[in-house]
Amino acid sequence: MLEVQGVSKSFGGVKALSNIELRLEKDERLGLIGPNGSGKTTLLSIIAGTIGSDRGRVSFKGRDITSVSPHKRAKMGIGRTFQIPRPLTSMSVVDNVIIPLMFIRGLHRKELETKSVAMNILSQVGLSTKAEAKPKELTQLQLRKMELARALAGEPELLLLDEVLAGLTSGEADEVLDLLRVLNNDGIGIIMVEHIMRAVMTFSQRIVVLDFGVKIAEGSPSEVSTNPEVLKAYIGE
Amino acid sequence: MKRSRAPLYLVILLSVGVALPIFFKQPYFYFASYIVLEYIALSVAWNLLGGYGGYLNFGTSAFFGVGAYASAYIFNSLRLPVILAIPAGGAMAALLGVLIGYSTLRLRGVYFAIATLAATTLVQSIVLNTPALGSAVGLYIRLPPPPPPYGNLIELLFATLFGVTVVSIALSYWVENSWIGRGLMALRDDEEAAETMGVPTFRLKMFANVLSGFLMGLVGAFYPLYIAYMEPYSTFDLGISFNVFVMTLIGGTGTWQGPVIGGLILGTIQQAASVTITSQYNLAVVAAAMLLFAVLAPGGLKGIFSKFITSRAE
Repeated sequence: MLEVQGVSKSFGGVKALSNIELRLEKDERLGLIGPNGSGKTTLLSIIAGTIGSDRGRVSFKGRDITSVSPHKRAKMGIGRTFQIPRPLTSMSVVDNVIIPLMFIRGLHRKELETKSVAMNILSQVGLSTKAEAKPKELTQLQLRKMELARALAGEPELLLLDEVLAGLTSGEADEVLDLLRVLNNDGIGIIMVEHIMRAVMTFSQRIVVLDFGVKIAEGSPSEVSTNPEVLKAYIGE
Repeated sequence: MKRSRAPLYLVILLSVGVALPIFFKQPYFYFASYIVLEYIALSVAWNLLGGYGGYLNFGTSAFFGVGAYASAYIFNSLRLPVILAIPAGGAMAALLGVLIGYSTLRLRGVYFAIATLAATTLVQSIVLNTPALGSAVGLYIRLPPPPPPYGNLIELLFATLFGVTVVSIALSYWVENSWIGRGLMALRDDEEAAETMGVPTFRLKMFANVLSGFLMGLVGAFYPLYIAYMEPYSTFDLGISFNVFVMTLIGGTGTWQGPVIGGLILGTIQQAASVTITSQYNLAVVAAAMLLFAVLAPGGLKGIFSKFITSRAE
């Protein structure tokens, strides 16, 4: 469904990504891990289209989307969450969810209907009691849930999750993981960037490891966790 | 205001404005109100991109002036009917919006603001060096006779500008309550997040900029008839841009009521001050109000008003 071929990106003199290859099948769960600054978020942004790559190409559902704008990619079915939540601060939580309903799914006309769809999504992530609150009244955890709700509102076929579990207690993380499994069963492919190893190792079917912008390992969670290169990247020699 | 009743209010308001000069004769009232209406309409237009989208236009007088010179040239030099010249003025200003928008609205941040400021000087120097537009000497306008039932030209100008102002307010109300307004507010809050939620940010910014420019040009297109003699320094005066910016800020940005309140109150104070004190202190009044509000009420009059309403409701 998703294919990343030979993608490279530099910021000034820093090489953020070098010649990255990545494939994702429909309804696959992929974990993307690596130390801080290894290029995980940059790779997600290149797939979502908010950052352009210097070289290489990205295709989605058989179509080359390298030069397609981010809002069109969102309409094609790529949803994402941000590592640091990026709420629309002047709008209530439910209005934040209504934006993708309007612009990705084209529900502009029937206001009440759109709102009830948004409320359903909020209750799916356990945020329905905060629907009318402004984002600044939310806790970090609630903001992350809102990020997830907004991404789900676009009915994505590919979901890019940037540390969606950060700061959650293990009970809360399990709740979110259960929800993600349900979504995945419904046919949504997921790429998860995550630092919580227990979560990413149990959730993912396949793991890709980045270090200094280079893919250093790829395989099943058990293969990757015993890979000497990976251990070196994380722990040092 | 309920959506279903809005058209009714609109028609009533329009009829009042159009009928007023037929029954109420007081030339000074119309000369002064014309300027206030001008500022209300310009502020409403400014708010479309600046208020909802958060992209600041410091070149209101460029759009206004292009509309003014385009219409003056068409009916004064080409001798075509005024009724053609007015929309042509709007169209030329919209074109200026397209040019500035295409070159700067793909970028985020202050590029657009700087480009609008530069455009003012650029357009002004083009006019200064074009003999067909009167260069620095200016243009004397051949004023047409007013059609009945209006007794003189200013009455007619008041009535038509009143109509343009009401229609601008209605357009702004429509933008605010439609998906276009939602999208603009989303990109004002966070452009990257808005894009990932499917908001076509560039297209919405262009739309708001071109519509805003068109309305500013339309207002400007009436100006030659009002002023009778035009020259580039006062037509492209940065004071116009400054006034509009401050009036919208003081009224409250991002709502359709804000620029109406700001334009009405500050415009009226300015007109009153130029009669009772001196015309030299026009800008000082606005600048003082700006300072006062920046310190005491950053949310503008609209902010104070809604705070008052909510505290009463609680």
